[in-house]
Amino acid sequence: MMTAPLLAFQKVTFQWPGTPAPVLQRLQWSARPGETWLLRGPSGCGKTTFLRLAARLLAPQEGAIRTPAPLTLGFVFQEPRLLPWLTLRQNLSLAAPQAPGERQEELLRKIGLEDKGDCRPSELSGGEAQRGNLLRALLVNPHLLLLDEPFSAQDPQSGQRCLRLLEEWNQNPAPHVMILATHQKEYQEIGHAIPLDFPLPPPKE
Amino acid sequence: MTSSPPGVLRRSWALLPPLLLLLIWGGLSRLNQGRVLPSPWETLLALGKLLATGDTWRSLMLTLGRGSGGLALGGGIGLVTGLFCGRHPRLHDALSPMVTLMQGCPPIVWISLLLVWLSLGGAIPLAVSTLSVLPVIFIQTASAVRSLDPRWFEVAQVYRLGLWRRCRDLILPGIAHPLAGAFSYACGITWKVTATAEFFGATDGIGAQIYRSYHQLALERLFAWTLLIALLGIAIDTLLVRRLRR
Repeated sequence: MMTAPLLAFQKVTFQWPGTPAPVLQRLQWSARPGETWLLRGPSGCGKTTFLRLAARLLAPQEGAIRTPAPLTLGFVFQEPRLLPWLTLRQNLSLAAPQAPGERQEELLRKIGLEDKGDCRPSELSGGEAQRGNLLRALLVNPHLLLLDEPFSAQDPQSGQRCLRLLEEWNQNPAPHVMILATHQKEYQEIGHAIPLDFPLPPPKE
Repeated sequence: MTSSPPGVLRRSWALLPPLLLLLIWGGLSRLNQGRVLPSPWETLLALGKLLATGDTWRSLMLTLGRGSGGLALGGGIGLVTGLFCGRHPRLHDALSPMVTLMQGCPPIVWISLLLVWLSLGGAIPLAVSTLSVLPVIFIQTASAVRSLDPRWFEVAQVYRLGLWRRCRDLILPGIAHPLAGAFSYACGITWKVTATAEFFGATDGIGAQIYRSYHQLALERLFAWTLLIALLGIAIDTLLVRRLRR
C-alpha cells in the first residue's frame, strides 16, 4: 500500500513577474515519507524557486501545494541568514528554543563548530556560517528539510562532515522528506536520492 | 612630517570659542553700561541667587519631568505605530501624511490650539512635547523597519517565530542603531520645546520663570535662566544623548 505524500505539488504554475515563461507549469509532483529528492540543473533554472514554493515562502499563481498536516520545516538557505546581533548558539536557539542544550552541543561538535558557538556571524567564515545555517535547520527536527546549495562554501573535509550529518539525519524513523538542490557532483551521490532535473519540461497536452 | 598636538593642548583649543564669546559679551555689556545686556559677572551672580532658591530647582524638575513625560509618551506611541507601519505598507501610506503634517507644525501652533482647548497649565507643555517627539520617532522607526533585510523575515516565517519573538529578537535589535539616533535627537529637542510651551502656556517651570523675568524686565535673571538652560542642554547632551549615539 502506498503511503500518502508528505508534500504534493498539484498542477502548480509559477512565473516570476516580468519573465517570459513560467518556471513551473502545471507541475504535478509529490514526495513520500523517507524520500530524498535531488534537484539538478544550472543556476537560474528554478531550483531555488521550487524550494521556496515548498517552504510556502512563495505562492503559486495556479494550483496548490498540499501537506497532510502542518509540517515542521528546516531550510538551509543559499546564504547563511544568521542574525548578526546574535551568537551562533543564540541563532540556533532562536529557531529551536525547545531543543535541549546537549543536542545543540552534539551537533556543533559533529560539524566542527564546538569552539564557535559564542561567535557572532561576522566572526565566522563563510563556510562556518553556512554550517551554522545547516545546524539550525537540523535542530528543529524537521519533517521537511530543504537545502539550497548547502555545500557551496565548504572545503572538501567540511563538506563531507555536512554530508555525513545529513545522511545520519536521513536515517531517523520519523516521517520526513529531504529536498536538496546542488550542482556540485561530489554531493549528488547522497543515498537513494531521486533526481529531478531542471529546467522542468512543460506538461504534455 | 607633521605631528598632531598633544591631547591637552588640543582640548584647550575647544575653550577658545567660549572664552571669545565671554570677552565679546563683556565688551558689549560695557558699551551699553549694562542697560540691555548685563555683564557676565552680573549674570553669574544672578545664577548663584537662583540656584540658592528652592523654587529654581522645583522649576527645573517640573520642566525635566514634563520633557521626560513627552519623550516617553511621544516616543512610545511613535515606536509602536512606527513598528506596525514599517511592516504594513498600506497602513504606513494611510498614516504618513498626518504624521508629516504633525511634524511640519511649529510648536507655537500646538501651544495656541491647546491654550484655547485646555487653558493655562502643565498639560500644555506635556502635550506639546509629546506632539513634537511622536513624528520624529514614528518616521525613523517605520523607515528603519522597512529597511530591514526581508530575508530575515523569511527565516522568521520558516521557523515560525511569533509576533513577540519577531519584535524582541529580530525587529528591535535590527533597528536599534537608527532608533537610538532618533531618540537622541528627540532628547535634544524635547526639553527646549517644553520650556517654550511653558513660556506661553504654563504658570510654572523654566519657561514660565523666563516669562516672568522678561515681563519684569529683570535682565540679569533672564540671562541667568538662559545660562541655566544652556547648561542643562550640555548636561543632557553629555550624560544621555552622546551615550545613546554610541
